[in-house]
Amino acid sequence: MSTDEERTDQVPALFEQLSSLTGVPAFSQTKQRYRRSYPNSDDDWRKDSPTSTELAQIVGPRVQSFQNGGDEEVSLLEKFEGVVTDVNDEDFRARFGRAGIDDVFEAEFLREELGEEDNAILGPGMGLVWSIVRERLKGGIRRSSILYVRRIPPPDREDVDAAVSMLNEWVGN
Amino acid sequence: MNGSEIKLSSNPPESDEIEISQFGPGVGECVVVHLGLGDWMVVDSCRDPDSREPAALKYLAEIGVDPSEHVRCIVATHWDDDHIQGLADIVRAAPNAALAISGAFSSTEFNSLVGEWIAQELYLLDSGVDQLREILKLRKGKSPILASENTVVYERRTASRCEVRALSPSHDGVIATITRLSNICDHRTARRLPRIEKNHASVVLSIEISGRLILLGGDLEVRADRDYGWLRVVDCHAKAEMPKHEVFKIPHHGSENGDHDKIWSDLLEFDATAVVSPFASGRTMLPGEKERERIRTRTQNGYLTAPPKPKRMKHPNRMVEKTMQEVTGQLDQLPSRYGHVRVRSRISNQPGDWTIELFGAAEAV
Repeated sequence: MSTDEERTDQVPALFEQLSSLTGVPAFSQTKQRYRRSYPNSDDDWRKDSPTSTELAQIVGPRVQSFQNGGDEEVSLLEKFEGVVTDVNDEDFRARFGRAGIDDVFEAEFLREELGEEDNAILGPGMGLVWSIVRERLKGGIRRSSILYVRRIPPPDREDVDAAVSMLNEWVGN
Repeated sequence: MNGSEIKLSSNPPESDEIEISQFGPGVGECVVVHLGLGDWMVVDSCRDPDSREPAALKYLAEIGVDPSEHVRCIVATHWDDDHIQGLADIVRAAPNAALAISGAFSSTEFNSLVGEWIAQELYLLDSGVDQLREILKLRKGKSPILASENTVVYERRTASRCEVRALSPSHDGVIATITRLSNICDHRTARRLPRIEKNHASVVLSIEISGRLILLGGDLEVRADRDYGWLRVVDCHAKAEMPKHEVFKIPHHGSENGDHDKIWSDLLEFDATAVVSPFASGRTMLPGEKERERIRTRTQNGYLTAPPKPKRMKHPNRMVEKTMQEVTGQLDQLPSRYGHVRVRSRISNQPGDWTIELFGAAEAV
């Protein structure tokens, strides 16, 4: 069994080998600075031998950063458009999908799922957009649900008058 | 009797055979009537859940009936989104058929309110207003029949006489609907006409074919005011000393507000054949057990096009489905269940002699 001194001397060589295999720098600056300050004096080195914490800082190879390989990304998995059908104090109900084209379904949500501005105007007949997204973050994957009320400008008075006129003409009024 | 096995009957009725076929998927309903002699009528519209086409067109195709040749009349009893899905497709397929809509449209005030919604073309969702807009384009220049109390919607003056008469809405019913419509949420922010509760402008139809009578109840409700609603219909019917009906399309999915003793005692034969379509949305499931029990006390011949059971929504992407389930309290596929009740009788049969067939999820009440 080698002595502590021998093992200490062996450590740099070992990590040099690892470094050549991985391409990652084997020693921190702290270690290099430390050994250069004690080139010949073993006693002084022992007296000032590093603590375990310092050793951990000195002798560990620099671990390759996980962030280097992945960018953040957001993917839209699904988007539904619907209409609010019923509103209560705490929750509301909406229908999504176009009959004859999409799958039609109804869903019940807490009003907390909407922002304050949307909640203020929420009522039956309001358009609703519901998006399901998948986010790739630096630490992993996250699923999100995003719900908001669709805001569309009201029709012009001219359009309304034209529609009313067309309807009256059609029925013979 | 139960229609749980999936079967289709593609044999059309005989020329002298009356048929009433009712489809109900839990969202909306549709009634297809053979008036005899190859003449057909379509009342309201819903979509077949598999093919997504209008149930009436799918059925007529299955039995080999060309709607452009044989559909004589199309009736929209009310513009509830759920009750006229695909109606524009039927109008397009039967360009020669007469189109009847609620007499409420005779009111310029009513049209002013509805016109506000028609002007919004920005949000198509197969809504009632969208269907109306589409029909307006298809039928430009061809005015519809405005069906109100005592309007004859269709008439055939041959050896096998046929008359389709509207029993509602009354004038007061139209006024009540206008009041209701004008109180609904601000159209400038809403993008679809919300469901109109207490629809007093709904069209009720009485069909007479060589003395045999059928009553299609639309979506009319009972009101305390006898100037509109079902009590108005009962009063007018009694006054005219009209005979009673053998088959009844139960209104409003069998709910209590569409039911009254007088309907059954004054308008219908004893143990009339009655058909009801379900309504399954949110926490409302009609007809529930209470409603079914009430129908059973009215007639022993009650049938349901499908039970009002919700169906859980599924999505092909499991991540999406999981997220949807986590965010929502209820998540229901529409329609929930789908079925078809078919009632047939030869014109010469004795009153009350009807053959009942159940398809899909249809069952006895």
